[in-house]
Amino acid sequence: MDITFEHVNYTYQPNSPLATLGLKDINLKFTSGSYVAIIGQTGSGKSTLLQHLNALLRPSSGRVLIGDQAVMTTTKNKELHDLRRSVGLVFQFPESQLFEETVLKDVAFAPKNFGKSEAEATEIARDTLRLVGIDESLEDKMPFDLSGGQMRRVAIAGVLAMQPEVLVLDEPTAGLDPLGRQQIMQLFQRIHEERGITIILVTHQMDDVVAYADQAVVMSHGEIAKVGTPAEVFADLDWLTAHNLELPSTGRLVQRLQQKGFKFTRMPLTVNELLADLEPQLKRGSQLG
Amino acid sequence: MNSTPIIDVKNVTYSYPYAEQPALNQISLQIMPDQWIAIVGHNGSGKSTLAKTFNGLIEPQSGEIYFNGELLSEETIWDVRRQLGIVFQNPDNQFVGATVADDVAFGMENNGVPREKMLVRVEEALKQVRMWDYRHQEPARLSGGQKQRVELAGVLAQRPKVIILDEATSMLDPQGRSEIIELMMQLREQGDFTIISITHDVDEAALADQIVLIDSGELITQGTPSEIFTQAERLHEHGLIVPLSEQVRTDLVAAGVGLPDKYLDETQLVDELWTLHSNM
Ligand SMILES: Nc1ncnc2c1ncn2[C@@H]1O[C@H](COP(=O)(O)OP(=O)(O)OP(=O)(O)O)[C@@H](O)[C@H]1O
Ligand SMILES: Nc1ncnc2c1ncn2[C@@H]1O[C@H](COP(=O)(O)OP(=O)(O)O)[C@@H](O)[C@H]1O
Ligand SMILES: [Mg+2]
Ligand SMILES: [Mg+2]
Repeated sequence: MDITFEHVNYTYQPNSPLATLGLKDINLKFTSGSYVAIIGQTGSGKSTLLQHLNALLRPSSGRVLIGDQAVMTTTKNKELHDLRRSVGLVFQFPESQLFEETVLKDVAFAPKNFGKSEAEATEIARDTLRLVGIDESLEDKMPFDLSGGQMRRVAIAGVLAMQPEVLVLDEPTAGLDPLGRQQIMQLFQRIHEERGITIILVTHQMDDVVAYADQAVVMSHGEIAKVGTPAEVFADLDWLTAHNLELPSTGRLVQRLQQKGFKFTRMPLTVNELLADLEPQLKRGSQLG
Repeated sequence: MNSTPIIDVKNVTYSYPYAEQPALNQISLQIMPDQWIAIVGHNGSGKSTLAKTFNGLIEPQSGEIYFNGELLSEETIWDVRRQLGIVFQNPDNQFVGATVADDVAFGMENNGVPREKMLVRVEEALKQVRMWDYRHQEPARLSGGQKQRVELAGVLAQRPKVIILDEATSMLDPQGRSEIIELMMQLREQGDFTIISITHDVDEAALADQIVLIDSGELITQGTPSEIFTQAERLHEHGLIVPLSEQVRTDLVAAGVGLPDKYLDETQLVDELWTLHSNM
C-alpha cells in the first residue's frame, strides 16, 4: 500500500490568533515495503506529518492518498475505518494510547476488535508482549502502573498486535534502555523483512537512521528540506548543523580522527566500516614491543 | 569542602501496592553537593521510584532519606521541595497552566514567590530553554520536545539547589540536547547546584562525575565513568551498553592494536590512536 502526499498543507487552529503552521506544501511518496526515517528539529512538523498517514489529521488543503483512499479536508470518518486498521501508529506519548484496565487486555483489544475470538486475541497479545520484552508478571498490571519504558513497550505491542500493513512510529525508542532500544529496532526490522510491511519512523537517533532506513526525509519548519538515502543526507555536515541535526556517532568520531590527520576515502557510518578503514592506518601492537 | 551529602539514602525499601517485588530494595546511596550524578539502569529498574523518594512523593516503607543532613519528614518536606526540582519523564499529562507562561509560574506560586519576582524568573527560564516565543501557547499544543523544554523551565524558575532530570531530554533533537547539557554545566559553574540525571543516553552519562547503576531496586555499583565503562559485560547484564569510544577501543585491542587497557573518552582515544598512526 503506497501513501502519497499531494500539496498537503496543514494549519493548527486556523483563523485564530494562535494559528500555527503544521505542514507546508508536502509532496512525498512512501512506497509500499520501504523503510523511511523522518528526522528534523523539535517542532519541525514530524508528528504532524505522521498523523496524516492514518488520517488522524486531515489536510487543510491538498490530499493524502492512502492505498486507494483519498483523504482530504472533507473526508468523512466512516470512510476511514479500514484504513485505520491497515496503518498502525505508535504515538509519541505512549500513555495516550493505553486505556484498558490490564496490560494484557490492552494489547488484546485490537485483534478482538478486528474479529478474533477472545482466546485468539489473548494469545496474540501474549506473543506480542514477549516480543517487546514484557514478561508475564506484568500482564495483569494496570498500564499506568508501569515504568515509562515498560509503558512504551506495551503501546508498541498494542499496535503490532493489529498486524498493520504500514507501521508508523513516532520516536518509539525514546525512554527505552539501550539494549531494549536495539531489541525493539531489530524487531521492527524483522517484521519489515518477514512480512514486507512498510515502516515510517520518526527518530532523533541518527545511528538508527543509518542502520535501518532506506530513505531519510528531513523536515524543517513544516516543509521537506531534503529526501535521500542516509548516506546522501549525512554527506553535508554544515547543512546538518544548520538543521539542528548531527552525524551518527561513528561519523562524529570519524570527524575527530580526520581533524587529527587520519584519512578516510568514504564516510564510514557504522563501527565495522570505521574499523575497516582505521586499522590499516595503525601500527600493530606487536610491532611496538 | 562540604562533606555532608546533599542526598543521603539509607537502607530504603519501597513496594508499590500489591507488587510482588519491591521497587526499591534496601538501597543506600550518597550524593555529594555540586556533583553531576547519572543514574542508569534498564527499564523498570527503579530509577524514577528512587527519584520520587528524594522529595517525598513516595514514602518508603523502611529506611531514611536525609537532605543536606536533615531527615525527610512531614515537617521538612516543604522546605526540601523548594530546593529540589524534578523534571519528570513524559511531560504529556503534567501541564497545569492555560499558557506556557502560566505553567512555568505555577510551581513558584505554590512556593509563595512574589509576583514581581515570578515574572522575571518565568522570562529568564523560558529564555534559557528557548521557549519564550511560545509563552502564550497552550502547553498541550506543543510538540513533544517543546513540552520537555517547558517542563524544564518550570523547574529552573524555582531555582532549585538540586535538579533531577528524569529522561528530560529524550525527545529533543541532537542539538537541543547538547544545548540543555551546556545549560546545566553553566548553572553548575555558578555554584551550589547538584545535577542528578536519569538517562539512557550513555554519552550523557559519560559527562557525569559519578555513575550510579541500579537494578531491581538495588544499587549494583557506583563509580566514575571510567570505572563503570570498563565493565562492559556487567553493563550488558543489566541492559546497558558502553559508549562508542569504548566499543572501538576494545575492538581494536582485540585486533592487536596496542591501546591502553582502560576507558578512554573520545578525545583521549583519538589522541592515543594518533600516536599509533602509520603512513603505510
Ligand atoms: N505507580 C506504580 N504502581 C505500581 N508499580 C509501579 C508504579 N510505577 C512503577 N512501578 C513498578 O516499579 C518498578 C520500578 O519502576 P520505575 O518507574 O522506578 O522504573 P525506571 O527505572 O524509572 O524505569 P524506566 O527506565 O522505564 O523509566 C517497575 O517494575 C514498575 O513496573
Ligand atoms: N495540537 C496542536 N495545536 C497547535 N499547534 C500544534 C499542535 N501540535 C503541534 N503544534 C505545533 O506544530 C508545530 C509542529 O509540531 P510537531 O509536528 O509536533 O513537531 P515535531 O514532531 O517535529 O517535533 C510546532 O510548532 C508545534 O508547536
Ligand atoms: Mg513529535
Ligand atoms: Mg522512569
